[in-house]
Amino acid sequence: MDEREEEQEEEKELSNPFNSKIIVLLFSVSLKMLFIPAYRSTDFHVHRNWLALTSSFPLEQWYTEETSVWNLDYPPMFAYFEFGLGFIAKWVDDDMLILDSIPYVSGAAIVFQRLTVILFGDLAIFAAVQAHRASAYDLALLLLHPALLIIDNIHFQYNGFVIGTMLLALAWLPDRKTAPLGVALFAIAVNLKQTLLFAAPAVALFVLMSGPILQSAVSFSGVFLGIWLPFIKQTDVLIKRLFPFGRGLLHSYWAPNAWALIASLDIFASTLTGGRPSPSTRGLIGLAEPFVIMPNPSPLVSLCMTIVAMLPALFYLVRDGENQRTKLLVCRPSNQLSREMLHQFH
Amino acid sequence: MMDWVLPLICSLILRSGVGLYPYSGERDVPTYGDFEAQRHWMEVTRGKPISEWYTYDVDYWGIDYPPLSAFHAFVTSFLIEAVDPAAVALFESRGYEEEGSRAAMRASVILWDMMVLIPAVFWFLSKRSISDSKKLRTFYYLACAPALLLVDHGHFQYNGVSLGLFVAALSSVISGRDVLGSIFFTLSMNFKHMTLYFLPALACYCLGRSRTRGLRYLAHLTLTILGTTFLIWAFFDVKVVLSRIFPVNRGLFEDKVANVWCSINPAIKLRNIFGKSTLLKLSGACTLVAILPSCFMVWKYPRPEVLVRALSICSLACYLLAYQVHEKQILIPQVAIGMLSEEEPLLAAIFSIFACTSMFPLLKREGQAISYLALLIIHAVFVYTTTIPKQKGRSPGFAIALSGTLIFIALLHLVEVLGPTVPTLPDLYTVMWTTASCAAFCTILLVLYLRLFQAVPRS
Repeated sequence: MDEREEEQEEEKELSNPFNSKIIVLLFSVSLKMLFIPAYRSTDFHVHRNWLALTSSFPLEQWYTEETSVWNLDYPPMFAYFEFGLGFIAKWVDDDMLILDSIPYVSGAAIVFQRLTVILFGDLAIFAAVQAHRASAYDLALLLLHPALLIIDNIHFQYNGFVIGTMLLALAWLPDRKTAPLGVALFAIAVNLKQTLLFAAPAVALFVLMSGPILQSAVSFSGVFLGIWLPFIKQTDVLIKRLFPFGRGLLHSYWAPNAWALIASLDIFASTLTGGRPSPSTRGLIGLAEPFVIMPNPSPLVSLCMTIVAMLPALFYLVRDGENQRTKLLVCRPSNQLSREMLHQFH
Repeated sequence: MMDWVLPLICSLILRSGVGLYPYSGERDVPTYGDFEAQRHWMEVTRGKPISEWYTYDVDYWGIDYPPLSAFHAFVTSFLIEAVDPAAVALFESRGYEEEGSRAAMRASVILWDMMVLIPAVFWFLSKRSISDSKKLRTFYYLACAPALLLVDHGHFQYNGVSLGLFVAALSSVISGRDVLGSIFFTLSMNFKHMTLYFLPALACYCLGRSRTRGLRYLAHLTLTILGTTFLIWAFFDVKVVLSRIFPVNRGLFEDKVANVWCSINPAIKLRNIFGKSTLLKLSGACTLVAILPSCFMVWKYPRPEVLVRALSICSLACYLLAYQVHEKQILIPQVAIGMLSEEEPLLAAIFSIFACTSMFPLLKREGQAISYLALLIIHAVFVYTTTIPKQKGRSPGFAIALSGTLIFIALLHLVEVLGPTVPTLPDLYTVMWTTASCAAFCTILLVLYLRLFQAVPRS
């Protein structure tokens, strides 16, 4: 009987190959390596451009350089990240770092950039999963998420890296001892991609309720200021780059958010009433007034609506407090529904 | 029955991923490679009457596989034509490499795998009364072996069809339906004659079975095989086709292959000492000697387990010692050893690794080094998780052997990357790879023989 039981035990272990996080990580990395030659969007060239920009120009010109149309529109931490990558890039392929409006592509550049997405993204998510003490299954869900695969490893972005950093920061928030560290890391995460600001109200509220307020505030502002210090004189330029309200309410391809619903209603209504045709489906960018029948919201109105949409989630956060997962889960959808200028990616 | 959805999806994803990498002869004007060869066959079989299939302009990628491949090309051409008619237009389509047609060609390999190889593998697994995890492992070796993916979906070939038909043949034989098995095997041989490596073992198995089933059984088999073969070859001139598929004039070996003849070449240049016909006889004799013991065993004990062992030994011995062996023919032993994986997991794991490294020079030339690396990592990961726990507490042998192999391979790669380029020895590292792989294969062959004699008389 003992041998039988032993065999059954082994059976359970064997029949699920993915019971180890390292195994999942290795599988994810190698699978993503297979996607290296896949289609790349212009975002690939955008990032190569940023490598060139940060390596060839002094800090002061990073946000003012206009040679290429793909100028820097991520916060400074990401710029430092690209600057760091630039050192390795130089060793891989010198020509990558020439700032040019013409897209440059070489085999080595493609492999290098793809590998940075894979390694930084997967390792960040792995670290976050370790910190949360989640299972290999959770890790697999995150690493092998189809949307992440398509956007990060094919289209080309660094969302895995950014989201992983934020998730790691969130892991450290509940514990009072590590909360300031978590908040510092959150500051870094937000400065990697400004879209993570949606989580700021929830994080702030959470820390106000549970964490050491003074230390957290100090660490957050310290890190934030430290990142922005070299650009202190250019804050207005940066804000304009990071929050391009000039691009309009809807992007050329709509994101599935609340404005998309209203835009559809608007198109329907305008077709019914026979008024002027709605310009929102023409794939244009920069439309401040895409709606024909419905009222066009200004950026401020959209921001207010976003905050209002978040309030119920924040209310529950205050009430239930401890459960972190609730906080994140609830905040994100409400925010995405109403944010201005949303890309499909988010 | 094991859960088949996830393995199936994974095998699809891996195939698509490998397919993103370059194929053989990509943009390599004017000769191109195997991709162009297959495309050209589709063009010829559509554009020319059947009597000219094997004679039309043979210097530009003439068909050199048996007639079933030609029929296969004919059928597949319809798919390619539906996507892009210009890809199979007679003569104008030479070197045609547009996005659409390339995707269609890659897709056709996947489609044929889904139609022939995968169902055959599932059928084979349904006949095996082993645990689900062992079935998963066998599925992996038969349907997703790294070498198979790299050759079929990378380099570009249609081995999946031929190997799938062979798996179907084995499935029939295991369930006792030898006649059906012989039909499938004949089809497999008539698709790609390299499955002839399996013939001695299978023939001796049937001869052994006939000791209990009588001469009628043998007659049945012979008639079936001859009938099937006749149906396929009826449309062609036998002499012409035979001369195309067995190019004896090409010599003992071509390029660098991980078999005995090529490995001893740096020391003993056999091709300079003996003539072609002598070498043909020599290699034939050596192969015969190497396979005879296993053939005898399977004749004496005609059981499926013995058959699979004999098939592994025969195919590996043929690969190592036969005439005009190509590196891609390592897929033949790969399938047999894949079937053996349920009893010899370590052997299968290590063999699969060396099957890839034996082709590494070719893969590197074609720009598939990264897909090779990725598939080897997946292989190591999969093999560890599906086998290691079993050894826990009993012996760490498996882990040590597997890690040792991987470290050895990694070291060889390092040597190639960091080592000097010697102008007088341009193929230095290629020979390093083939010789190392050959040594591994010889060792594996010996171990297979030992295990055969150990395991068989017991039951």
